[in-house]
Amino acid sequence: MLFAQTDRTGVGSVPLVLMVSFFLGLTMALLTGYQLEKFGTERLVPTLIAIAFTRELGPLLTGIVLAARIGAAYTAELGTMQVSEEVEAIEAMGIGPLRFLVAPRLVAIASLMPCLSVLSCVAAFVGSALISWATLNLVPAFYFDAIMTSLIISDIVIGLFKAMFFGLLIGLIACYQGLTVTGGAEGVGRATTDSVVVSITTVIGFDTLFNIMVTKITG
Amino acid sequence: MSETPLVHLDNIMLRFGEKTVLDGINLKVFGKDRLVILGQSGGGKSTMLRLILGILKPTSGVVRYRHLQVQRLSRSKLNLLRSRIGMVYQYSALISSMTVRENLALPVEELGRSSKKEIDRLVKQNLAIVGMSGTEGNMPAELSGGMRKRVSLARALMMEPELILFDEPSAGLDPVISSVIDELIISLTEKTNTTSVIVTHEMESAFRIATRMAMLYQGKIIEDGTPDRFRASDNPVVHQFVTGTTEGPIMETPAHADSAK
Repeated sequence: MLFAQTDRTGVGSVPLVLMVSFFLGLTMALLTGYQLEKFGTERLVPTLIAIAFTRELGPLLTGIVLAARIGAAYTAELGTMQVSEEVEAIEAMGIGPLRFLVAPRLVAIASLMPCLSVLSCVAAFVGSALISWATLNLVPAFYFDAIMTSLIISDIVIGLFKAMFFGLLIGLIACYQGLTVTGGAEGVGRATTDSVVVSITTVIGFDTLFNIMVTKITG
Repeated sequence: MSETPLVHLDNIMLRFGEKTVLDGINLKVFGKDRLVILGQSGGGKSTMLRLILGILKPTSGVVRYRHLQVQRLSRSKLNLLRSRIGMVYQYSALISSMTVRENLALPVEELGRSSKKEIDRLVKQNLAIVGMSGTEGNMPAELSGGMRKRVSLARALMMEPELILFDEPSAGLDPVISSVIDELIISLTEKTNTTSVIVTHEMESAFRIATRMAMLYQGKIIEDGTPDRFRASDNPVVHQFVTGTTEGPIMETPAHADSAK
């Protein structure tokens, strides 16, 4: 069960996370590059992209993608199981639905979010490096060297922690919405929509809160 | 009957908000009974099964399983008790994302200590009992309603339960398949000495299966006895239900039933 969830949550989400992050990294580098070029500071693009994605956009973007792709699937699956009495049947067999249905999903999404977030950052770096090479004449060797020197360990740790926390939030919201479905097929549809909306809003809300707290603590 | 009942619903009252579903139910299920609970649709029959399993808790009264008070059991003890009770749902409730083999193996894998070889043997044996050999690799969606019900019964047998609860076993099935399911219930309970509680409102099926019958009407057990006693009952509600006539005290809608209360 855990392996199946891990495979679907993690491996299945890799192409989408890579693609979305690649294009977002590329667009960010393009737009910031044009602005910074006016002041002759386009060499700051890799630093900006590195910090923005490692601390902020990598976990956030991965969270949004997983809320839409995996959170919705969790809610729809558990919701359908709930309305067709499958959840009750599991309970009636003496198997705890939380242990059997919820725990593997939570473990899968919380443990794989950091991995996917790292992949998201790498894809964004590649996308931004390519566009910077093409439009700003920043060669990839310089670009990646600038990324490596600009990142400090706390940026990476904060990003990974956020990713894991977001994964846990998405999993909890999705499973809760699924297991509390009432009202048949319409109820499943409503719960799935709610799951995605609430997950994305909560992730963005907690991200903001987290940033305020970290900024206050670290000065 | 002085023997200790396997299940005892003792003065059970169950309310959902303002609505009283069960109103002082007293019912004992003894070992080897094939007790059929009759009653109108939406009258609380399936709810009684959920009370026995501890999925629902009564508003007042006590649900006893042998000497245990079901609603007072800890989560782990309740799960242990549930593993000794098999439940066959109205719509089978097979896990749709799992094959027939995985569905049957699930309770043993999760609760038992059996090896894969032993589980395979049990799966084959129980599928053979219900006449579904060779369907191990099928998904539930590939099976007909009757086949799903038989697989559901095979799943209920996997933990060798002492009590099997059937929720509308012949609902939605054609008369032939319905009879096959009824015969299966009779032969299984006789062969394995299992006690069963069957909830239904289909009279033909009920009289075929039952060694004892109870009728639930407006939240109360209004008749409890042998099938012969039911056939000869002079209670107008029981008589109307058994004969299926439109003339009589049974109201069609729950609203009528509520107002009649």
